[in-house]
Amino acid sequence: MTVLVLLVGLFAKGLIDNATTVSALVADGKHPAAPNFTLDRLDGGRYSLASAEGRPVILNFWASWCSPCKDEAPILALLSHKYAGKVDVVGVNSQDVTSDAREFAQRYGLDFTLVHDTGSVYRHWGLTGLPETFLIDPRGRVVRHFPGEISASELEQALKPYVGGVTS
Amino acid sequence: MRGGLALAVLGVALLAPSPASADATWSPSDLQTQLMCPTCHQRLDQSDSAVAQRMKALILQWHDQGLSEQQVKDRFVTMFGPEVLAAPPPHGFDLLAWLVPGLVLVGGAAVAGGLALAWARRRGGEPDAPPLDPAMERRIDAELDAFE
Repeated sequence: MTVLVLLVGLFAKGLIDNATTVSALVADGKHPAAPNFTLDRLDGGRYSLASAEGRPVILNFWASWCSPCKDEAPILALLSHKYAGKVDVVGVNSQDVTSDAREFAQRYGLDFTLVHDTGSVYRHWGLTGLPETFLIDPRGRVVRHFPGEISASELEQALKPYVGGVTS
Repeated sequence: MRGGLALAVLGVALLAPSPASADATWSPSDLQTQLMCPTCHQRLDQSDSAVAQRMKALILQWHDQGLSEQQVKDRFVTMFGPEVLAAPPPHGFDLLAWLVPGLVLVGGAAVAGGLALAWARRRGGEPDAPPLDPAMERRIDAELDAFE
């Protein structure tokens, strides 16, 4: 009986966890507070999402083996330069071999913040594949979710309310 | 002098055991069955995803470099988390994954045993058929003899 209760409890916990992921909440039209995480940077040291407080953040989940991520990489690199000091771009490398990720970053000249996730952030944010991108507003709320490959124009459009009239 | 030094270095390099022979007593293909592909959640040996292929290549590379099986597993856990292991580690919350099947088995056996015992008792408690009347028994014997 105890075992049955335990199994039912675990099943219920799984359902609740799935319904409360960041992506599920954003899909419901909510703007949840971005859950903080602290991860190892690919270039050494640690990075905490909370350190971006007051600035919008483009949070991009990627992997070196993911083909659309190769197309997105130059866009993210470009935007990180264009909005330097106004917008933080953070790449969360997931489901990847760390050395491959470093090589990828070097090949595409990714000089924005890159961190490595062992899977916990990926699950907590409710990802279903790679790449996926979230936009966090300056108040730390997740306001947009872009599953799949994102274009420069989509990102620029989403950033407009926060960056005003920045031109290239 | 330089030639002598080079020869000495070469000699040491040849005499020293290679890293691969030091500790690679495990099989890369066996290890593939103990790991999961982090993207498709299949066992590594049954997966052909891009990341699984890279993991297989790394297993071979680290095997050749003489890393122990545990060191290779630890490296993958650092990259992908404990979910990369096909079997959960037998401690902490993951211990449940080892205990629950055993508990279910023991509980099931106890329930089955209890039911079997109750059934046997019920059958044992049933009254025997009443003894045959001696006259009737003689008549049956006679009829059977006549039949033969």
